[in-house]
Amino acid sequence: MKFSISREALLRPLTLVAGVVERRQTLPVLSNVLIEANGQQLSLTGTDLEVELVGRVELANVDQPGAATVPARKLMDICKSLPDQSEITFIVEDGRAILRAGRSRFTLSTLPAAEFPNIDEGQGETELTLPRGTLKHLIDATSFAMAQQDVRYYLNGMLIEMRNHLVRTVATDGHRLAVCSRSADIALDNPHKLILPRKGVLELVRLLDDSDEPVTLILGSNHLRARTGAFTFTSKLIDGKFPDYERVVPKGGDKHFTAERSELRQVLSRTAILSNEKYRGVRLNLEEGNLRVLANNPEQEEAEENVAIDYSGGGLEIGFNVGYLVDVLNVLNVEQVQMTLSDANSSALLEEPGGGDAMYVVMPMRL
Amino acid sequence: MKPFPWQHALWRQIIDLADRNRFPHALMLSGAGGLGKEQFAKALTARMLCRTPGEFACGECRSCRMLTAGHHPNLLTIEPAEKGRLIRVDSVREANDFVAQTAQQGGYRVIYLQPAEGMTIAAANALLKSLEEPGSNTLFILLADIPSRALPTIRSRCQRWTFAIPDEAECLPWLREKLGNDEDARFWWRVAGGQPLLAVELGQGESRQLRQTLREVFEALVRGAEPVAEAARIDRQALSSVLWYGIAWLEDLIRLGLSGETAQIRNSDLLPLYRQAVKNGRVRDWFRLLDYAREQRRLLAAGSNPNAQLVLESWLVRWAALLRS
Repeated sequence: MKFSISREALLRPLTLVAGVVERRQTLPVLSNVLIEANGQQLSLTGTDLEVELVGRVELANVDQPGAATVPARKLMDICKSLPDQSEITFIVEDGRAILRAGRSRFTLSTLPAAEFPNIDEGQGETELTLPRGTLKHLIDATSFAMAQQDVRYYLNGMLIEMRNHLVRTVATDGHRLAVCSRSADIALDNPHKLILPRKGVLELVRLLDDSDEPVTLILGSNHLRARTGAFTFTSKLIDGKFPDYERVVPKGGDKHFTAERSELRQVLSRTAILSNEKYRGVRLNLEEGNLRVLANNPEQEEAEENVAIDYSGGGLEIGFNVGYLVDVLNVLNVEQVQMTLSDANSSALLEEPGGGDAMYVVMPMRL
Repeated sequence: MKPFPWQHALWRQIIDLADRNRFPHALMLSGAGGLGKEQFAKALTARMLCRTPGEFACGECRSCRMLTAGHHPNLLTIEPAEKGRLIRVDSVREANDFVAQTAQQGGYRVIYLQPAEGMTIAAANALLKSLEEPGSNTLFILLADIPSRALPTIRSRCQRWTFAIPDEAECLPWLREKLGNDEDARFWWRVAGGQPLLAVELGQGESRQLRQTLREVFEALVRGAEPVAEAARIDRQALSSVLWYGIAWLEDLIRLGLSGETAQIRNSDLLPLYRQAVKNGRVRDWFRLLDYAREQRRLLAAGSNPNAQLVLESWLVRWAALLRS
């Protein structure tokens, strides 16, 4: 294999691809990046066996096509420290990779490309296209609620549900639930559901931006693949069944109030300081036109805040983990927020006034 | 990688299951240590992961190449960190995470766990949930020398495949190839109690030397040598092999003492020694010594770290007392 490329053109995909490669690897080949050159294209592949990222660059010409794997981090460090605008020549022969730029010369060890565990293109898989901004919004609106290392392994990820003209993401850790759906220009014969693992979600969102450029999703039985221009991202899925989240969304709540989102968030964050550090419980006292927020801790310290709300109806006292409420208020990107309650033992529903595309359910706490 | 010649019948049965899509999600391969279960399990793993399997794995496709290179992403191997140690709960949790996610390369996910009886209680309990109902295309292969020592809840979740002692005719050609000549092959096959891999191990190099040394020690004991002085001749590292030989010889002795027949004797070269011993000792005493040896072996296997020199000396003192009484 032999090709030449400018430092900048190589560095951008290499940095992203090497980001997937974990530092501590049990298998030597996983700390390598797979470099393939053929035709007019150079592709770089990195994997940690859970997610895989392929970056592609157009090349002016490939002198000799081929494939090899070289240590990812070392290659990246070398490219980073070369002077700007250097022209890099990359040659692989006799199991060694030689990298030349100006008067520098580096020789790197390689491992056979055939042993690299990259994922083959599947066949007969469903393919659909979304604007990147839509997918990013769906993920950002829900990813905070994913569980972390829960024994209910199917909660350690995000449910992505696709049906005709609708995409929905759901995440829950058993205490709170986030659902976000958006209409999209897709046509599917059968609805598709898959659970993307936590790591896959966090890596995928790094590749997306707010633009209307398309991202192509390829739904396989074992993988989700996302293609954005120069990158192809692949993640394994969680092999399990996501709980029936629709049953969890409370219905028939009769106490609706709306409040200023940023004000409510600040009030809650302030009272949180004096809540029990372990349970983070705060007490909400709902009165006409006013919400009183109370917190106390084992040292008998107390916080009390009052915030004006738009509410008329009966009084209610209810406890919540303040962290869950603040998380929701952080991602809701609107002026006003609406909260629906029924009694002290039923979960609360948070959403945009009148119902936006996202819904958040938070379970109450007994205080 | 292929199974051993004496496993072909079993291999065909298991492949038949796979080809008819009747494969269970968990297999427990059990049987004595020297029968080649590991190779059978590895051959099976390779075939399950191979993309173009024939009777065996093809050895050519990308899956086979990754496996040969030592890292197939769809294979998880769980073994004790060191030989003789237990499998800890952390490695089993790794398996649970592995099963929770879909296969990285399409096809089967294989979890190879050995030895099944060598898991800590916590580790075995942590495995139960995944072992009971893993997702589709998952295969657990558990190996157990002594399956009765594994938790019953683990055993009942696996389909049991038992490896029996093969016929002499089935393994003799293979043994001849490994040990050089027919006579050696037959002799060591008998010494190993019919376990071909063990026969090869015993019949070569240091193990062969050890048996020779032991034989000399015992002959010296019969002639009235001092057991503590004799114990010094034996390599302390080989304590478990020494116990293994002692037990095999005791079993021979008891057989001879009770039946008087020589046909079932495994170590036929020791017959003069046995005759001498049978004349001197009572069968009940031999049984008592056998219990003692088995207890020592159990302690050794359970990871308690006995003083090898003391065990060797007291072992030989007991022998000497019986051989001379």
